[in-house]
Amino acid sequence: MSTGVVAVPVYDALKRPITAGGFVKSGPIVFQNVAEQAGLTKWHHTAGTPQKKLILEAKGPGVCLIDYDNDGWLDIYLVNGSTYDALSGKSAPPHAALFHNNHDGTFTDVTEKAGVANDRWGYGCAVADYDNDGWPDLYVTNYGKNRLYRNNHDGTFTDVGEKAGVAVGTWSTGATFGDYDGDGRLDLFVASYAQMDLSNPPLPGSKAASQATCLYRGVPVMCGPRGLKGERDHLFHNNGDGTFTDVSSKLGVDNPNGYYGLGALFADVNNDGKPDLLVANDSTPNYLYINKGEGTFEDTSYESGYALNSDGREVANMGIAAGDYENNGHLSIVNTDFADDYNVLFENDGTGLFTDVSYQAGIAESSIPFVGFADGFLDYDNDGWKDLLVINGHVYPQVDQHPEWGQSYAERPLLYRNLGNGKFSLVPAVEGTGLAVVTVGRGAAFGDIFNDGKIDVVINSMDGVPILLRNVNPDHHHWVEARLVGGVDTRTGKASPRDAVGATAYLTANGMKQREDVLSGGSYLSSNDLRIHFGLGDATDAGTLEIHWPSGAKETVKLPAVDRIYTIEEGKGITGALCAGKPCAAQAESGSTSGAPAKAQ
Amino acid sequence: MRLQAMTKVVAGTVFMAALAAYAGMAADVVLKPADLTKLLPATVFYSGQTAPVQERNSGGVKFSDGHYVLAALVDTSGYSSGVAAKYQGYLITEVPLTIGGQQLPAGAYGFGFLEGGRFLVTNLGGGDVLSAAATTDAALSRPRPLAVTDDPAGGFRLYAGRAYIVFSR
Repeated sequence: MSTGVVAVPVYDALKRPITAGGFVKSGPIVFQNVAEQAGLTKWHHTAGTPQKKLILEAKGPGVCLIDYDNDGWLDIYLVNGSTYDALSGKSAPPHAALFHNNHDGTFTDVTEKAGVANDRWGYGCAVADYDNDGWPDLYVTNYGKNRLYRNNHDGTFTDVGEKAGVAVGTWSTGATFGDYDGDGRLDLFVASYAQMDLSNPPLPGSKAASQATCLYRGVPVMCGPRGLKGERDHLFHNNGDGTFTDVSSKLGVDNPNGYYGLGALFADVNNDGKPDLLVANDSTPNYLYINKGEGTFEDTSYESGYALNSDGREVANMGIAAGDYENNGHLSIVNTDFADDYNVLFENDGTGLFTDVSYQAGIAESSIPFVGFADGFLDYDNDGWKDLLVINGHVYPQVDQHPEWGQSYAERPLLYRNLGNGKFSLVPAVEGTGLAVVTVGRGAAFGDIFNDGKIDVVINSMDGVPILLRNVNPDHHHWVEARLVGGVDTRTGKASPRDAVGATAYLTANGMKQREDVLSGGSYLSSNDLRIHFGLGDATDAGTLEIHWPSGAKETVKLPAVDRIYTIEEGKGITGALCAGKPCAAQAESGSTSGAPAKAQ
Repeated sequence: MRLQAMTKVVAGTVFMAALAAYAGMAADVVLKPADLTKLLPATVFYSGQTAPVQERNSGGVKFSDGHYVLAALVDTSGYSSGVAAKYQGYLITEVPLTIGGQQLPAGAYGFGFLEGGRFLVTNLGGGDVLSAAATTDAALSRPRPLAVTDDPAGGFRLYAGRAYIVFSR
């Protein structure tokens, strides 16, 4: 039972399925799709056949935001799939794309020069500075060997995946970096989906699919995932010398149950300063591995309430969004899932125990007709409350042949506005705007792509061109962002990862306390902006930031002005600021550009 | 008074257990997934198809005379919903059972908890054998896809999420 009961179809006034309709003529315009103007639509994603004969063709692709040249502007990496002809050498493989941000709203494809074409059957990606050299690196998951693109600091990358021991070679999906053992070096977790032998593919009627039903509502479709054998997950310990050691089995996080892994995220869900590990499994229970310290984990999937929804059902989990949507300091989770079931909001009590509050929060019912993939918490209107965006797209093209089902292959996104009381309301999709874009959505990455303090979203679509949702919400709220740079805790000598992945920051401003985390991975096979972002409403005081560094150090920094992107280094305070993407004074008016830490504990 | 009553209950329970032990009787035992690793088949046949059994979602009872009743969910489909409804799990019973006042002979069956609060047992060809009303346990904390527990009123409960039926010999 990977879904709930068959839902009653929902149509709009034009008899379109609600998944591809339900638009309104007027209303608040939150996003505009500017992908074409930005130059992103010159690239196209391809995966297998349009009919989606194998489930291999239906997963992926992810997308990553990476400031690979350290110019302060986010660049975009889009993962591609492949074709059977390409795998057998009969045709040139599709390639991934790295788009350089030109700082003027446009992007330039620099894939070839950067050496990150991948040209394997790609699924996901994750960004982190695994070698602590101050430059973000890129991990790409594939069907086949994965890539670890090490940043060469000159606009190019070198694939060191095999040399580093993280190539895997099966069918990898979600990846996430986190320093699970607190040694100051980022380790790598790689989720895997199913065993897939293309010399014996699980086609309907085949021996490989003999234990799988290949029907959806009685109609023949691709087989799986149930009935297929799940694949091993991998946790790689960073040895600090450019290599990693697979410690998955030793630590019990290798997917011993054979579940179908998709989303993966290191995040501290019990507020003990150590990154825990979440894995969203398709049609099987989720994993929550609580970090016990000393480099060990405890599987609390069921006890924590994260494995199943409130009905005790194993749902088709895809993406993971993590965020403190209640501004209570607790990191709650939203997992997307399949049609005929609802996206699950797992409210965290702060100790890593979760309660499914999807219906109470108002995100459940509207999501039932949709197949959700990527998701993320974002404060789109900078009011200080984290909103939620879900990217959708079906896996079966055949649904378009059955209008009586009320479903569509290409679907629109769902944006939920946080009402500040634990509830959300669905933002109407205005015709011609980003919320009315109908696409076979998969991965999405969230970040301030235009350095204007508004969170944008880039979507990688199945067999389509990218979508770039520029945030044009007409609010004039203030905001503040920070790029955190890890250092060494002088009291203990312990180090944080250089890019501060795993840090948690609390901003006290505008009468509220918000939480943000520096996370690598998550969403759906994607990686978001590593900078933290806070909406301030109408407040003109940027407030005080309390940073809990991965090293264990805690530091409090008074932010001198609103509407800036600060660079804050561990133990040094503010060391830089950007205004509209250009270096500026940290203060609002004239004054010092370095804000010393107000208090170091 | 309350303490006295509790003492009586505990004493009574101890006496009954001792009596059962003296008579060489074992009590009925509810089985969890970990107890079923060697008992459950890896795959089961139903309506022309073999499908894997979800060992993690299994349960059963070992009766005091050594007979078993086992239940487990089955990987019935990918993302299919409607087709899977009738056949969600597999039920093997070595003894006749009573479900909702109806007799179910010993044998192997498919089962499903259907929309509308019905529990349906089918034979291996997919034919309906028994239909009974299911109950919803709204107060159940942390429900699981399948579980077998004792029923406070006697017999046992077969749960699928919050829905359950009571069965007994």
